[in-house]
Amino acid sequence: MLRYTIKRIVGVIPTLIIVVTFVFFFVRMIPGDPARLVAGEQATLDAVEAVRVQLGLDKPIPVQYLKYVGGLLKGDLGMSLRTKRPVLEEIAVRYGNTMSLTIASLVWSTIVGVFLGVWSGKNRGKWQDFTGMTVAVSGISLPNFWIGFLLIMLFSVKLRWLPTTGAGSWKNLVLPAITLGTSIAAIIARFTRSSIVEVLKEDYIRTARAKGLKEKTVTWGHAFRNSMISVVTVVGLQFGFLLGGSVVTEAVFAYPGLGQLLVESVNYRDYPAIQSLILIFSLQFIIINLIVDILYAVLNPEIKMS
Amino acid sequence: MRRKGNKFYALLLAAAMVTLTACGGGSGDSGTAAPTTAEGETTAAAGGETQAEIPAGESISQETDIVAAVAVDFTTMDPMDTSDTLSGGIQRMISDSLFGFDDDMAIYPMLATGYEASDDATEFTITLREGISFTDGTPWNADAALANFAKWDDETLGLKRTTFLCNILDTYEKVDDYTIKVTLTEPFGAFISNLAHPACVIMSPKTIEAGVEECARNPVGCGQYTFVEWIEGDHLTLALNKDWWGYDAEICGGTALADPDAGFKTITFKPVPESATRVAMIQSGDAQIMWTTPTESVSVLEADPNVNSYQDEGIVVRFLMLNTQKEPFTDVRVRQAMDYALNKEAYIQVVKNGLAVPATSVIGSAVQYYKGNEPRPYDPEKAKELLAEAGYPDGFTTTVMFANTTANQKQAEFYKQQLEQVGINLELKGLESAVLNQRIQDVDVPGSEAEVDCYIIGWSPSTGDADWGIRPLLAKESEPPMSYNICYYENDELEGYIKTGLESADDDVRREAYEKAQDLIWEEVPMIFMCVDSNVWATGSKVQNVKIYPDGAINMKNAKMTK
Repeated sequence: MLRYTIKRIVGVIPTLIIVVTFVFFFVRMIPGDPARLVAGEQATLDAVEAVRVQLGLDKPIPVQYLKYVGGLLKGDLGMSLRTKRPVLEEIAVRYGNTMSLTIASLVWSTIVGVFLGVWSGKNRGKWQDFTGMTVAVSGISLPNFWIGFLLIMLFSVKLRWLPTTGAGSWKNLVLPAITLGTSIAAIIARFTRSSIVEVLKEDYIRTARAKGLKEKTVTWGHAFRNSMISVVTVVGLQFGFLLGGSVVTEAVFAYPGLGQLLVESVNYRDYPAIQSLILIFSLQFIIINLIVDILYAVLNPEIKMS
Repeated sequence: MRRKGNKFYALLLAAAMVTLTACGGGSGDSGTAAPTTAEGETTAAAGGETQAEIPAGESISQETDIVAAVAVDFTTMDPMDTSDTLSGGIQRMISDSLFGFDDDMAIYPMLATGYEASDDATEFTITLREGISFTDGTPWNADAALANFAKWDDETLGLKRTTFLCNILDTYEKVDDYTIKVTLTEPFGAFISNLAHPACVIMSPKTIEAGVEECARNPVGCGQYTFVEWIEGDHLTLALNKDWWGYDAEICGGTALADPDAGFKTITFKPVPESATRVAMIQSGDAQIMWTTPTESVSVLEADPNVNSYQDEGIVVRFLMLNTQKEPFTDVRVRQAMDYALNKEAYIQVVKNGLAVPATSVIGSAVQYYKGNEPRPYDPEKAKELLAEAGYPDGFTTTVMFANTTANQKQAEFYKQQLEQVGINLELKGLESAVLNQRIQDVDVPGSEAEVDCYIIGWSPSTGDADWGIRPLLAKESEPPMSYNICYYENDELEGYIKTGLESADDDVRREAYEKAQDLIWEEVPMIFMCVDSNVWATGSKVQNVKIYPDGAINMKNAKMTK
């Protein structure tokens, strides 16, 4: 197990190098001149040039790249061009917000999604299945911003139970978490359902039933346990996406998370911030994939042998 | 499967992010210069003016917090590094400048009491107001003023606004404790207006000494409010400064500027980018102030008994610029024909949801030395006649470039549809704003070789002085890449007026020059003047006297919270 884990961790390094390089060069391909943006629209050409030198943007791209990588190795993500504060600080301020929203959304959507999926799957072709899957398809199809506004109109404007915007208390999390989790619950439900349907065809399920086990034990102890691999995969993936911050949901609820920061940074051509955000998003994904891989091995010991 | 999946997802993510990055650009309204100024009429508000009664000296609650929902996040608290109206407006609450504005944005002495200018507008002697301290205890005097001038003049700090003011600063010295003398490298009649620009808000010498980072993050001033905290992306909080000099009638020289009993203690500004959410916040009571109201929500808010909705003429003027060095716009008859062909009233209804007034000059009525002219009526027949006279009886084909925001796209389509009626075929070229800057703003060629034919722009003169409403847009020196004369307009008569206005500090001389300039521009039509935007804002019905200055910055000088 340990050897397997170490092997997986070492395997991550080339991916990281590719991501760092990729991101660095791609960000510089966005049209637009950051020196002009930093100097201000009414700045003279001389002033723009001065800023360019000050920011090191006058140097050849390979030199900038080496400097960037050198900084990364020291844990320095650079200075934001927009706010002139260390990028790491900018991200740190919002990271907790995005993390709590992600966890809140994922917890409820996993629970609801799994139950809906199992319920539909074991009643395949019956009314329960149709109901469950209609709900799931609706959940995927309804746009986030629409659900968000609907919730705001109902719970904030009409009933006045929950705040419209902001972050800090659990009350602020409720509406964005429902908005964000709806489609995820739906996706998880669909994955769980198809996986359960597959597993229920297996011989050992028939054996379990033949042994006279209770239907509940068959469903949860045998069928669900063996469907977990696909559930873990999809939850892991969604976790990674959510940690990247949700641009739309954050905008609707004015939620100070990473998605907003990314959009603002792109509009401002804030190279250091964009690079760092994408790097962090990638790193998160890599780590989550690693955990998911290790979980596979836990769930199905055959995997680490192959 | 596992290994492959792993890398695949990582790359997929990277690709997704890069794609997102590439599409995300330019929501900014390029070309609208930053904030500010000058005298003008602020027309009365539209919403219900329910004046709740507050007995003198009796507040509702000194502990209340007011929430204000704003459209974008703040960028910095350093006035000299600010190019957005929102941040500038908040800095004006935290501190005052030598000269400020009254409610209608007429220039008004704040930390100064007056000035004397030499005839050639190169030497200004400014007397300072006595008895004022910064909130950190530092006294306001000539030394404090000079510390600010030194910062404004320091190009090595790399602050955005340095070039705006300080290219012209020559020397500044202390005459006595409450008098300073400033000399300029060249005549500059609008100098006092520039001192009223929000970039010239005064900061405590201690903060300046602590460095630009401190100025940007922990501003200390001597204004009506003190800075409490700023959590980026989340909120910025100010608290009322009970010791503000403006509450002291004696220091103010007779009448206090405001009443210290506002009925609230702090104001929290929250950036809420989604406009529908801002509307929901004010309707649900989560916010008591919001600006800007999205135009489509104005009627909803006007109908809500718990909300007061207001609108007022601003100073952002919308133009269609014409490259006067390229055919066919070299002919003034063609330019006038286009003016006749565009229906301003329809434009205001279609593009602005009725929230604007037709433009009557190159500058808005709140800008100093404004002089209005009668707008040319909508007359497509007359337009066709003029085009025929100019040798284009069948019209012509041209292009319009613009930053591809929704609002600009709407304008461009309107222009296309209207100009088609007189035979002019307008091709739309909407571009991402950074790309647009590169292709229009940063090119250094004569107008006849420039790519641009027509260009959509809005301009708000950041000093509130006619100079900043005319010179950057129409002076020879302002052709790209130097500034925004995208009309590539060159007219010696106009240059003369601009020079006269610049080289005198005499009010009458300047007024005459700028009035003549405005008449000339109106006749010459280097750009089509469409409308002056209205500022639209809303408050909860318990909050009163919140206004928006014509430049779009918030004015809470006399704001009150009632029960």
